[in-house]
Amino acid sequence: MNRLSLFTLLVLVYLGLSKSFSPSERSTPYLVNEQVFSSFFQGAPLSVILTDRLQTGFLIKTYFLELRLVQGFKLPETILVRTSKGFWEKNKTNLGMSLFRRDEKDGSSSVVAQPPGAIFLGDPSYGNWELAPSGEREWHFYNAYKYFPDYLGWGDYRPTETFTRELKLHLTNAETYYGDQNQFGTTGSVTSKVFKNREYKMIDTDVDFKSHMKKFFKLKTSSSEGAP
Amino acid sequence: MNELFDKLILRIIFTIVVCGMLFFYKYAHMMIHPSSRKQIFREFHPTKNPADTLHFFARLIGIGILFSEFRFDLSDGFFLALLDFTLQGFFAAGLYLLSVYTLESIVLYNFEYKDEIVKKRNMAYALVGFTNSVALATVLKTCLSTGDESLVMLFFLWLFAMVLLGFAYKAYSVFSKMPFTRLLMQQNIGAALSYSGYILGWTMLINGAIEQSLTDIKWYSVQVLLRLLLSLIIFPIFRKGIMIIFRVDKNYGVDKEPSPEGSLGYGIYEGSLFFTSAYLTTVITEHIHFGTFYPVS
Repeated sequence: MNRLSLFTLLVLVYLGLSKSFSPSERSTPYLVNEQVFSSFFQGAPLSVILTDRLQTGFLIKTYFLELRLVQGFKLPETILVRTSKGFWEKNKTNLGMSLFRRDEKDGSSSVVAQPPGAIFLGDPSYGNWELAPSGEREWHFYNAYKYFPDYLGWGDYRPTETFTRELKLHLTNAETYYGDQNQFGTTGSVTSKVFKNREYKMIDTDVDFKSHMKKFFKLKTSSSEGAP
Repeated sequence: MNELFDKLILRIIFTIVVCGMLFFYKYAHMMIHPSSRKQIFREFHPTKNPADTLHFFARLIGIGILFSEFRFDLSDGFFLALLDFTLQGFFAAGLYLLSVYTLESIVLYNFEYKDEIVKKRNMAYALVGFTNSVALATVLKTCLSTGDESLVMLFFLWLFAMVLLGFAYKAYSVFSKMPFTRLLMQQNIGAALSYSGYILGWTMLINGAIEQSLTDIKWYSVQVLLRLLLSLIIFPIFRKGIMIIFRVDKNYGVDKEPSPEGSLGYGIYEGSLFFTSAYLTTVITEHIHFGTFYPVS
């Protein structure tokens, strides 16, 4: 019994020390859900976009969200946060979506998942509407903000007036909107194109079993070496 | 061809330099171990006393292991390379002898070299001395490699490693059922084998713990401590696992004192068990590469 107690104590000390000094624990903040976004993210205008989601671990999983912070007058910043399983699962369909936004005019914020850039759309300080060949008017950022479509994960897509109207309506009703033609979200046409090369490898799904096994049958060729 | 000859000459010179260092070691040995003054200066007869031979050559093997870590960097010229080697060599050899002296003072505090080796020809004692010498040389070699030419770091690493080895020795009575001191007096090889397996095993674990890149002392200390704690967690699991899997009768002298053969067998069993468990522990503590399994670290 004494040995068992000693062993348990050792395990606890090890876990305690590891937790205190673990780099991932120190470098990745824990955001349990969207309710803490407002106090965690500072500044306005701000759009927080979900660019990747991953889980690590064997039996005890840790859930991560990679978020891109797009602000009006700063370069975008990408951060990785730990989160709860519930919030991670909730955002399964929200890749490429803005999970949080804060308006600079009245400082109001919203945590309903919406297509990225909602706070900039229709704001004459950032861009204007231009007539597209389709006959619809599309949103174009001014030259000073020409990189915003890339930051926001739009790619070549430019939101139309119809899209913007519906988006604002959903925003007012606090409902998630994926676009008039399902452009955004994990299965969205625009998001799938823009986020096809994700940074984090999905273990168990991205592994090629055949090429993995090749190493067991590899033959090493001889090479000539000089005198020592 | 000229360059090849030149390289060969340099190698021969360095061989002579290493031999010169061994010559210094001979005198340093005499200073730290005055009791073996005669042993080290008179002609040695390996056939007369095998215990003495084992005890004596263990130190030589140790210094061989230690010196195998040295490197000659000729980028800044021959003399600077020689100076580096001489400085490091003197310091390391001194530390090694001090380590042997300290550990033997702790482990074999109630034994006298003259009584055990010269008079009794105690092979068990010699084997314990052999194990200590080899274990210390291996640990010091790792300290040299981790300290990366810094004598100050080498000194602190050595101190740290000595403390760890001291703790390991103190924990021996927790893991072993054999009455070490009594059996050693009875010249029981079994006890020496059990001790050897245990100390060599823990040497491996300590080496594994301290063999990490040393860039920040605070961070390094935490990492060493964590790895040691992990070893302390894994080692008993392997030990228990082997005992269960192979169904070994682990009772030692429950009713009466076992025969010398019985003790020898039990010593072999314990030593092997300790050594294997430690070896397997290094697989878990050092050889698991998580790679991108945890992409955030």
